[in-house]
Amino acid sequence: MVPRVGPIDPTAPVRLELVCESGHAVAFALWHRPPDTGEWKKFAEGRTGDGQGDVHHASIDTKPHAQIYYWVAVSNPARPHAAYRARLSLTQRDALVPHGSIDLTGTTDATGNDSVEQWLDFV
Amino acid sequence: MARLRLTPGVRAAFVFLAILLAATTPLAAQDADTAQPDDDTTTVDDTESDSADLVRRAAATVISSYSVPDMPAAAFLGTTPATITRPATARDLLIGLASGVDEHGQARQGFALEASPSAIVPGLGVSLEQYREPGANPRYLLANLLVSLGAARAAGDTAPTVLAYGIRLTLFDRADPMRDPVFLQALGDSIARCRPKAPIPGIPRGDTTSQANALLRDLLAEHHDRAVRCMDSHTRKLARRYARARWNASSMYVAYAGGERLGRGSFARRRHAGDRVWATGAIRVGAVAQTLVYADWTHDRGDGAADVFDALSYGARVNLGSESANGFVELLGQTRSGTPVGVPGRATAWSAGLELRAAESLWISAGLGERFRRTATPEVVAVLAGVRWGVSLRSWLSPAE
Repeated sequence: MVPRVGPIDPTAPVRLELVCESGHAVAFALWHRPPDTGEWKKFAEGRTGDGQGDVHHASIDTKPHAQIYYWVAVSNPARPHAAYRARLSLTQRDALVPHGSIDLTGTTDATGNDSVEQWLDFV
Repeated sequence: MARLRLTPGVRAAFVFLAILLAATTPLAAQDADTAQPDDDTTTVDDTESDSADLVRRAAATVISSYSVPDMPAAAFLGTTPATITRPATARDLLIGLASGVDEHGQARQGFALEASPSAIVPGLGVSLEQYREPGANPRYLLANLLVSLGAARAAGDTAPTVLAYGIRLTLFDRADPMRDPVFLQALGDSIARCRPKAPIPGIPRGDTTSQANALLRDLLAEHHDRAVRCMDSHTRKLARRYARARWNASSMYVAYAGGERLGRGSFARRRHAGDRVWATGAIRVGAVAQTLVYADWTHDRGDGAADVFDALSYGARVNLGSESANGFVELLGQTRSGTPVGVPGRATAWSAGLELRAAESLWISAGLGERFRRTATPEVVAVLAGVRWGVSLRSWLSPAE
């Protein structure tokens, strides 16, 4: 099921926060598609070791009916076949957007890696 | 790290040392395969000698890798589960536990589950920064705590099912790459290289449909597989290099497993089957050596009072070497209680070996004793000048792959 997030307030930017709670290194990329175009545009990317610490932030000015596409990768080569848990939170004016907390869970492969990608619709 | 240089002189010294070792060692007491009895007469001394050899072999088999088992419950059962349930959420854990019980409320044999409480219980999560905090760090212990469950039944229709439970804990590991900021920087760079260039094509607008269709699901799966293959390729090389460079790092692990015998698989007819505790420690000695110690205590309650026994297997080993040439000397032993009259309750054995990388993925090894015969088994073996020589495709010190 594709997450439908909102309703959002078009007058305030949406802030996205990614945090991993299972001791994995992460990398991520975020794309945005406004409601009036068909084109995706990357607006943020990051990774463990980029100086942001454990909590990665991004921000975007958007509107209802726009879309966000996210790719999140987790890695811990020291612990193969391990459960991981990360959370993508969307807030506006320091308040969580309705349905804006997305849990990313799963189990890594034999090398300790996994990735998740999905899109969400703003309403 | 200082490394042995594989000059022709070093290679020649390696071979000479192996031959010297063979020439100065009485093999009969150590290597049963090459020791032939003179006659068939059995005496009390022979019986004790055979039994002692059995105990020595048992110790060498038990101490297979100087590491605590990855899944203590499976080690207690003596099984290698075909499928292990690894829940990623608390909900998955409950479903996994429920799958271990059949419709009659009896334990399902073959069931195996492994869980990390910190990864599945909300509130117990450990971030990388918390994981890396120096000193006594309870979050580190929590993140490395693994709980396992398993069930198996011995051969025969009337044999009871044994339900085993276990925990595994890393007390510290100086070779843990996830505590090294330099490694984490490289790891972050590596996995970030695998990000897709763009989202999958054909994503519908939210007001068109809220459900991804089969084609989109396939595209997502293809993207996922491509990214994970890319990450596997990069991180495997990174982790291998890191582990090789820290092959002699200090560490300490402990594990426990216990079990219950379930008559006819029923929890109402349970009886404690026994307990087992493992502990292993490694101490880095300079740049090219490492000392390992290992202990494994088993308390088996058997089928009745007459079958109860305790066994303590122990080992100490010194590894000396580098990525391309290494050797070891070790002492193994086992102490047993409840052994029959005439069977020694204690025996020790020593082993020694050397190996040399002749080419990429090709190792030439030479060794004596139980360790070499039982666990460092090469692909090709020959006995030459009294020494067991082997050719294998990987080093016995190489990290698990």
